[in-house]
Amino acid sequence: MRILIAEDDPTFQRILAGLLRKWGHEPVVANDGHEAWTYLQSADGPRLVLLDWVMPGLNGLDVCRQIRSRATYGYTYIIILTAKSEPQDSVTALEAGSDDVVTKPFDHHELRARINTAQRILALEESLSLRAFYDHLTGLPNRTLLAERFPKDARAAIRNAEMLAVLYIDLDHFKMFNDNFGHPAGDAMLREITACLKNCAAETDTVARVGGDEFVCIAGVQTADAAAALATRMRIALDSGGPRSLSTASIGISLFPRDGDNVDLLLQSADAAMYEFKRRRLSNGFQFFNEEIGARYRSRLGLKTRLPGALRRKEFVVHYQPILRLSDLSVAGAEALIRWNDPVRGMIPPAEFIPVAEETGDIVEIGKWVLGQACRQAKHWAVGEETGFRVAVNISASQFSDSELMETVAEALAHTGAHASMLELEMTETALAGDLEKSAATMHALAKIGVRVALDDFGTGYSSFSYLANLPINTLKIDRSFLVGISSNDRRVLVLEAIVALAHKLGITVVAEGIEDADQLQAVRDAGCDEVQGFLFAKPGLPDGIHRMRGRAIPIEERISANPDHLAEDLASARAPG
Amino acid sequence: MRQRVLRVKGMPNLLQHEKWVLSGALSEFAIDGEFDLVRTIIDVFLSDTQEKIDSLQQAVLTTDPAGARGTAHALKGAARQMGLLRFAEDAERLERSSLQIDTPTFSSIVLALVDSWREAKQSIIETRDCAEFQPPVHDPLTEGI
Repeated sequence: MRILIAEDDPTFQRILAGLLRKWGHEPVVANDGHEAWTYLQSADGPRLVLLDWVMPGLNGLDVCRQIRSRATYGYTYIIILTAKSEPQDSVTALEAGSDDVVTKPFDHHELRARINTAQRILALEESLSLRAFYDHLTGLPNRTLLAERFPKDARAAIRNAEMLAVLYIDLDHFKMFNDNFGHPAGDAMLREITACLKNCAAETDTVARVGGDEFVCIAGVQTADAAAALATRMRIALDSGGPRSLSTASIGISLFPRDGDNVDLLLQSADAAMYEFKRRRLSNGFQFFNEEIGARYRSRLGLKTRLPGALRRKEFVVHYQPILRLSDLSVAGAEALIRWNDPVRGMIPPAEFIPVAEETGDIVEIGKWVLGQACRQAKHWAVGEETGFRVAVNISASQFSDSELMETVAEALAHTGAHASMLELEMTETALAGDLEKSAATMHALAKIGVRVALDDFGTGYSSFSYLANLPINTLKIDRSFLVGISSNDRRVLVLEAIVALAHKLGITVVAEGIEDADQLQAVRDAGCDEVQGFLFAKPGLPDGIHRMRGRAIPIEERISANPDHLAEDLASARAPG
Repeated sequence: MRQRVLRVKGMPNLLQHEKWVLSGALSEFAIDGEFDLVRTIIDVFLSDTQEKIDSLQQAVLTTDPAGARGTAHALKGAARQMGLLRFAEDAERLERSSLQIDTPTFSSIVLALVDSWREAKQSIIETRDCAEFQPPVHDPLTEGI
């Protein structure tokens, strides 16, 4: 290893250098403290130093203190060499930060043994810092090292009149891949992706792994276009040349110094841009950070801060939207839809806060609460032993995969006295897709205790026939997006007709969601759907409204309740998991 | 050739030189056959010590006690490492002396040090130039004997 000899005496310089060479090391000689300090400051400077105490200018102890006071991640092992021989001298040297003290005249066997000890400790330190600064699986720098390197990268960028592009790369569906193919396959994929990303980046760029399926690339670029080109290269490499077709990525980009001057802010901005990309499913492959995204990010951050106490502060309310039988427009049930009455922003639609609740982990408690409320309401609506009426509750992906779901459901039913057949749990295909075997087991367990299961948003995702064939599904909810602007002579009616026929053969009830006008109503009637739900009949509201509607057929005119002026806003808030 | 190597390897002669012998790291180097290195170290020591002795005499003239003690400290370290114990002792005496530089005692300590250096230097040079302390010479005539 390279060992620095900081020594002003030429005889000692020659003897030490000769010994180190004899022992297979590479000696570097500094004639005084200042020269030693210069060597030690360079990034790849020696990590072991034999430091003479008494030197002109900066003495050995001064150098020692300077080494210890600098903030750096590589450890420098210091052996003080001194002709001072009082016991107190060793204490002074150790207190100045040296690791060892060797008294002159030194015995070369002893010096060799002490250097060997230093090597062992440095090797240990290196393996520890490898663990602290590098990702074990991919060998990439981690977030800590990325942050540590950033100031130097920034200085270099300023010197070269360049910008730094911070690319936040998130792999889509990685969790699902891991669940379906197992962790070894997931790990192998991460390694392949690492190679792929490093291939796209320049030698001088930093590619780091900052989370399970999140990578960051910091690259020096002349223009924003160059950053865009890099992002595109990465997307293409991952999509086509990449390990599996599943490994598409969402990329958010922030630029130094435009979007921030510190690494935390830049990473946050790039992350916000990536989140925006994911949210809007953009086709160009990446999203640059901008002020609008920043504002949205801050607002989401606000929600994140306030959400955790909202349940305790009783800020949630459950609204119900009736589900009507198409045959006579009588009320077959109601979908429970949560609203958050945030003291800062007023009513917040679930589409906005549920993803945040998923992130904060509050979703499970909120979900439990909604389930309890819905069961209580179901019990209230029940007439004697009547089971024909149902209350539908949305279950998010994380609730569905929660091992306590069955317990929560059983508890809600037992606690409220609601009949199991009055409860329907709505879940999307995405929620089921994680671990199919486990999903099937959960659904069968629900069916066993008599709870109904609805497949929500059908027609937007996989729309898998195998789910229909293999899972105990009671209700199929056709997604509103499939029905936008549909009318009787639309080809979509034929598709719908076929799906309805298939569902009916399997004993599944079909509900058409988001019905807003008479044309849509006619189309879904023609297709043979069983039930409808939408603003044409009723907006989500307090339970009293449903109570009034129950048990009677209602003329369509009476159902048209939506105020066209507020339609868009109401529609946005009608999508309500939870 | 083989005989010469054996003779060189037979360091006991060398190590038991009556005045100054290679010891510690220096004898290790010699055993390894690193004669050039040993010679360089000796030469560097000789010239550096001479320089320091000169500067010490200068310090006495310019009445710089701190400088003199500093030089004495440096002389002591290198002398001990080279195995020149008497010379090192004299250097230490000067280093530890709290006397004023213009006192006769101080001057006598310096003079004693200069004297012991003269002796030490002499014995080092003798050892360095001793016939046995020579690297093996390549001799094709005796090759293979």
